[in-house]
Amino acid sequence: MLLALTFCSLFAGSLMAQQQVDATKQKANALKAQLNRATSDSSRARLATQLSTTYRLLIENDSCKKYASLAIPLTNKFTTINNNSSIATKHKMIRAKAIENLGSVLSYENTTLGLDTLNVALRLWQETGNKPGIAMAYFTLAQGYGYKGDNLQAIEYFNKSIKLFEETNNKYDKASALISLGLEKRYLGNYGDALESTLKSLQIAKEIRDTTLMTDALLANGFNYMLAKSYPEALQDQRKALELYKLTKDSVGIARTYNDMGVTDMFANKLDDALINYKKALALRKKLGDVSGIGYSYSYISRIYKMQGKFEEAITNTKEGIKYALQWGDIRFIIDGYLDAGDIYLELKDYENALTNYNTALDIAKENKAFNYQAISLMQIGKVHTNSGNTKKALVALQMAEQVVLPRDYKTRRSIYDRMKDTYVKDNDYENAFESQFKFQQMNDSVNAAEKAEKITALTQQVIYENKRALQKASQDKEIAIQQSQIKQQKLIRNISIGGLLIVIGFAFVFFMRFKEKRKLNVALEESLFDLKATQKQLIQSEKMASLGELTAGIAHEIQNPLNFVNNFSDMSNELLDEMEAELDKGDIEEAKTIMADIKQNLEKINHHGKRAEGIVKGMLQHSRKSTDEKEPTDINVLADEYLRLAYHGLRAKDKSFNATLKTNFDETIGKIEIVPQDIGRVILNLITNAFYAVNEKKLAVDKDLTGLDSYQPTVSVSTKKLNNKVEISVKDNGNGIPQQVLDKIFQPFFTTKPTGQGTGLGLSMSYDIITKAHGGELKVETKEGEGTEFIIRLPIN
Amino acid sequence: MKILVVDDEQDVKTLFLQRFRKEIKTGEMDFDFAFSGEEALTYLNQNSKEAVLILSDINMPGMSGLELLKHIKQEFRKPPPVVMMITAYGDDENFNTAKSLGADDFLTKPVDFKVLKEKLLQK
Repeated sequence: MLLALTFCSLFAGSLMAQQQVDATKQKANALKAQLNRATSDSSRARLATQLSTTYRLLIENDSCKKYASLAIPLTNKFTTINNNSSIATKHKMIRAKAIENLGSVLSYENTTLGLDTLNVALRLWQETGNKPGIAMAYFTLAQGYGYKGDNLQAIEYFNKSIKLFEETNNKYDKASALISLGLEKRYLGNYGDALESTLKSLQIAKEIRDTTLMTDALLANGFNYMLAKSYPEALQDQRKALELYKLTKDSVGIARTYNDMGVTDMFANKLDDALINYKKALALRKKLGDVSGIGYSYSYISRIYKMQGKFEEAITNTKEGIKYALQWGDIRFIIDGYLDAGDIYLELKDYENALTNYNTALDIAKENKAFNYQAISLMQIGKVHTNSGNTKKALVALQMAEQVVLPRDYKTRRSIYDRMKDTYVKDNDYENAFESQFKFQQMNDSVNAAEKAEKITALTQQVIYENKRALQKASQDKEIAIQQSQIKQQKLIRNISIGGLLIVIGFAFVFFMRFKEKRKLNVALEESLFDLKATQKQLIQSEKMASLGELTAGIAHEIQNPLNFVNNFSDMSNELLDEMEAELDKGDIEEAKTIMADIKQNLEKINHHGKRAEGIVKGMLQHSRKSTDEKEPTDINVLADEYLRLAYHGLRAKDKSFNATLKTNFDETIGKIEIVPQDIGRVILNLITNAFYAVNEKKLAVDKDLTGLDSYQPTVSVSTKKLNNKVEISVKDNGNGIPQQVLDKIFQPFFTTKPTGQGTGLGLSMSYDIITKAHGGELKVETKEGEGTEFIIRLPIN
Repeated sequence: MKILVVDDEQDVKTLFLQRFRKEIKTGEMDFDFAFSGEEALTYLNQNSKEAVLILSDINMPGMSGLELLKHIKQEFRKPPPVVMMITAYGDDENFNTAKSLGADDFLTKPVDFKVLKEKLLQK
């Protein structure tokens, strides 16, 4: 946990030097005075926008939001009238900037609303055709996706902004975008690419002699080297940054660099050096009065002492750290402090003090409803009792931990059962020890499954991304080819980029393998990152990606057809060109023209099929979108219909010969109800996919001997109905039904009847949670063996 | 020689007409196209006297290529026309089913047109 918090602070990005901050604040005050004097809406809009931009630079989010919200309505009337005049364009730019500023703050606070706002700003900038504006809008959007954790989208938009910054010769912003790009690549585990990006930015920073950029790039470089385990190189860049910060007398920067150097030393296992650097950072931060920084420094120092076995020193520093954590007020930081203190007392066999600290951590966790921390505190209390020989008390604490831990927090549960098992053994209670061992094994499987799914997710996303790129490039190349053939009319088309396409796909594969290698190397680091993520969210996404994974085979097959056409038509065009040349030599212009028309048609076909493949890939990406968790009024009929079609085409993509009768019966009087559309959509998709799976299974069994072809008609029905104060959605199939002995297990996580590797066993359990917990509804199942199954969702209205 | 190509992808027609451009020009081969199994059966019923070679895809919506094959070989006139099956899956199950239903040849996608041309000329 400590390590994770550190990363946040180090990745916080560029920090303004104090002089710059002062100057910017002065500018803000001057603008405020002007705004107070201004009378026309036009100048008030302009000044308010400038103010919001200034506060955005100062990272004063509330003020930025306030002035952006003031400016936006003021620009309304200027942009609606007289669209083409230069005045209108000017106001549109002001409006775009204000919306962009608002979006940048919102995306920091609430990512989805922020991203929507930023997209509006981007569209406005694009309408004005103002390249610097568009570039900055891309940049801000990329940051927004970064906050959301969507690294691939962030990378795409950073790249777009970099290209435009280059076109407009904006070196400063290009360099900062390159640093951010490097950061995103680093998150994906591509340290080589990350390094490449930060090295480029360093070069630009040197070129324009900007010390802030230079230090940012150097520290980013240092971190990349460190993660790639090149510690001497990391320290070298960190030292260079230190020199620069010293030259500019930037104390915040100096402290930050000492801290980074300490982290590098710690990773390199040079604990004495790490201690020296952390202490230097601490001294500076004390001078600056940087409360959170001081707290971090103390916890780092205590950690090193603990690693060295110097527990007395460790406890002194932990206590200091807690003092500052309390001042700063971050709950996680405070609890971590008390837990650290407890751990150290435990090492010292000072059980009384260990208990006091763990109990404090427990109380704070209870007050703040932090279940994970409650479980951990209780586990540690149990450990104190075990170590002091009181197994009965230890077991009580562990049982309490078992009660508070969240059902889906598999990792913590795994540790609890592990401890329980050991404690029961000490208590000579082998029956219970065996049961705990069994539960431990179950949790262990769950954790492994979740981690495996998560890894597949990351890899799949990467491959999809690279493939999408390859296809985009192919269809671009083809468009160019068509244009050229129109201009020159002959002997132009050679090597219609099929080679290129194959090479790019080849690259994607090489990239994929490299990515895999790198991930292997960084397992240790990854594990600590995994801990950070809330397990539940992780599982939701895994399940979604797993269902995407299931579709992948079908989709790959679906892409094969357009690719065959691309290959064939480009091949043919080459042959036709030779024929055309022969006809021209013979002087048969008419025949040559006919052939030329064929070539042109082929190029259009190539383009068409390239786009077709691109569309398939886009569909996949959409399915993997993250949910927003926000309820909104939704037409359940439209939603159900949409997902019915999605599921049907998904299965058809895999198996074109599959056919089923779809029946729908929608109650039009329902109107809109308040639900989280993506989540309910996922439940419906899951139920429908299961229904299709069931009828397909039955059809395959009937089809085994081709004689029974017409005797069974697979049918899936979806219907909705309005009850008193509820809405009922039913998904019904005429498959084989669910056998009685598995019926009570279907909602359990990781239960699946599909062959190994085909189902995650999370679909129904997550559907159950979405319906009952998040929406307060019911999910019921009715089934008859041999006749079919009906799943019924009932959602309360309001 | 009359050849009926059955595939649900419309562009297959354009492709075959180009690939066999020379053979069509010299009159060596003559192509007709059906875009589903059902359409193919209708065509065969209407042109029942002509000797036709059939080239059919397996994975099609509605009537699959295997069902079409079964209809042709088991319920159609005698002697039944030559049928070559094409599929994207080169798996044994499709191959064996096609063989047992009386398919005369079996090709996998992507189709090698050189090989196909040779095979057609042999029949």
